[in-house]
Amino acid sequence: MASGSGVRARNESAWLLPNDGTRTNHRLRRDMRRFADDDEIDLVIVGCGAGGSVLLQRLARAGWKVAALDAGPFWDPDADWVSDEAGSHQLYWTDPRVIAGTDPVPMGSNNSGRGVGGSMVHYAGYTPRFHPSDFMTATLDGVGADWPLSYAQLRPYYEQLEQELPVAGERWPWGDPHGYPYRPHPVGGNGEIFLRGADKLGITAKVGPVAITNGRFGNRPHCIYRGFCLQGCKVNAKASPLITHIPDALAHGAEVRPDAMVTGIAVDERTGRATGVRYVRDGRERFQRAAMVAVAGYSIETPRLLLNSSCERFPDGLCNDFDQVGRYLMVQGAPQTAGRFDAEVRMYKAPPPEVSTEEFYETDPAREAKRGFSIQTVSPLPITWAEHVAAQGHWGSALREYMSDYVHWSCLGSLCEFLARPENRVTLAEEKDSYGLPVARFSYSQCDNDRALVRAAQSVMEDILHAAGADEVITIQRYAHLVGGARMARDERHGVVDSNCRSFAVPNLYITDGSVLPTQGSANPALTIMAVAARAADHLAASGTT
Amino acid sequence: MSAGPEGTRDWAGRFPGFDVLSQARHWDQVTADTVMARIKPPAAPRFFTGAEAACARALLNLLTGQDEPDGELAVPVLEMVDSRLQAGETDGWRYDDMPEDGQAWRDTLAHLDADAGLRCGTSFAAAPELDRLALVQAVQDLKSADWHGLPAAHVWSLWTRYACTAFYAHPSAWTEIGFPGPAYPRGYKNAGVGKLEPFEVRDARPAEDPVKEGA
Repeated sequence: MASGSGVRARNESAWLLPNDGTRTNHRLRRDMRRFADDDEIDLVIVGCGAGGSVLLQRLARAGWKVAALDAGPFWDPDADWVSDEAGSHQLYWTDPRVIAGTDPVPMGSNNSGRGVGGSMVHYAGYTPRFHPSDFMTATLDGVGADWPLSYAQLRPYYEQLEQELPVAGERWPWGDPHGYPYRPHPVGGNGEIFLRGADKLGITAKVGPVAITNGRFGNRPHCIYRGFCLQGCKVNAKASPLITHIPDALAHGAEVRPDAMVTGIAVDERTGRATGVRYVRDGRERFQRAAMVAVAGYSIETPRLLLNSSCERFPDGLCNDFDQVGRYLMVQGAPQTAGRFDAEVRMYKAPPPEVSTEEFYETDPAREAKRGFSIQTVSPLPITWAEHVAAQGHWGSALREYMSDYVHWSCLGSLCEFLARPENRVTLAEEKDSYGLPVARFSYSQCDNDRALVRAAQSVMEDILHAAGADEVITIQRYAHLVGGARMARDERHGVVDSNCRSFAVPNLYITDGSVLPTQGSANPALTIMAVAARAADHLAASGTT
Repeated sequence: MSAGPEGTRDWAGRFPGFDVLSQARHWDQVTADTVMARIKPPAAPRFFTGAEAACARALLNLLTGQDEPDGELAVPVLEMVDSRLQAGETDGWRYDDMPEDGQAWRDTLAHLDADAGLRCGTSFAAAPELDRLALVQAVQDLKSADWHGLPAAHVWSLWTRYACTAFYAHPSAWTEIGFPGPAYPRGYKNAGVGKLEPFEVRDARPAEDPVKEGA
């Protein structure tokens, strides 16, 4: 079992949380450094999620004057979060957005967070690495794009972050084989079913990797297996930047400015450099001066902010000289297949993330499609489960009857690597939000390769559940995660930022969130987003403040 | 697989003696306040007009199997949906071929009343039960085809999303399906196939598989 002492020397967050059964260090927040708007700070970060928080913590440690603005609240798990599905509505970004295309992608609870901690407040907690192949799919498979950096360049950051979150799981045999700092969690009914079915078919499945404490970590307690991971962890067991990076950042002089909606990035028309950000707080428009700006608003709001920040020099949107902003936005195809057992599975009694397989992750010449998919346990709570049942066409009495059978079902989910396509993109809609800014319009359409992967994944999930003894299976088609929209590339004609996350167009503007990813693999993206931000932070710290 | 509203109405009583609320003393206070607010007598609708509320009530009760004339109404779905719309609590997106949610609800309820007028010469709420069932079934059957200028599948998505989110937020619905509800700070100690906590109740009719019956 990892001691955590090595981690503590470089990230003390877990030890800065209270150890008295409450979850928030209020003194740390009260004593937080606060910069004035006209104080030219070294760096202002837009968004306090996976990417923004890691950057904030790293540069605060490097001695930078740095502040992160977030549109949402500075959460206190004790007072703000509930052990309840419908009551967790406030965790999601629910400002208006328009979805379009032949396969429109629902937003909100599915993929969009709000407040300090970002989407990792309500993500399941799976933190797999990308495979080495994900960084060169164009070369290997003739699809997608090659990253301007390699897996080997990101590996040290994966290792650092797996210790900081920390991640629990069995030794991982796929991609670049590696171990995890904490032992795997015990599995519940759903994980048991997955392992049983996979074993019968000779499919390797492993427990993990999940960023949930198994044993005490600093002042974070052991998981209590209550099943409400997607509603925000009231236990402080599941990792999110709110507890893994923000406390250490504050202790090193960073400011987190919650409830501050950034509405524009200002650029000096003469020098072409960013000068700070416009934002609205308490109904008042303000301006934070900064020598450098990093945008970390995720794949919808980051492109939207760039497009809404047009000026004389950038009439079509900031960094958009080559019409790259908003493009190549990706979601994973995420069909979920459930199986019915006479025994009671009660899948809600464990964290939804338990067991996964990456055996189908890479291109298989025997399949009709390039790239692949992963399969993981998902354990929908009643409202989400009702979506599954309603998707079969049931309503009224039939809906109620199916729903009364809830305790007998086991549910698996797949993540299919949908390919990046230029026409899948964010643009600005006619409609305005409450700040008077055009809202994002996200158009999404699948290609044949995408559909073939979904069919293959569904058939494997059905096989696993049948092998485990299910008498019936049902499937719902859905999507998971977002990445891309301001991707990294070798040059400005193919992307928005370079391998260090610096924008090609504005030398002191960085993008450090999931929108820079050129491909997505079949892995949940949180760990990779953090690793990319940590690498950008190292580059910035090495080059020094401006 | 069959789809639609037909069911045997024998969902009740699968978990004899189980009552989610009997465990409320084990919930954290913030969660308890949130959940207990749902069992208080609901406030009168504020978002919907009188006519809209009557139509929405009939529709939502039908969608959630609460339309038995002598049945006990367990969950005030209409009031729950109304208060969501009044607060502007959307899901955070809308289809580009639909109006925003509040307007979409007003428009589609008016269309439903218009369909009932043509079919029965009454409002939707006043139409006989079999006609109400047929009118709603007709919208579902259109799939992605046009219904009063809107894609029927997107209308169906709007109706069922709001209906299911409200109904399965209610502790009476959790009791019905054997789900113990909030689990903080207690958590679970007996996870695994066939394992129960002391406060969970085993399904009295475990072989009653609705999928098999429907096949």
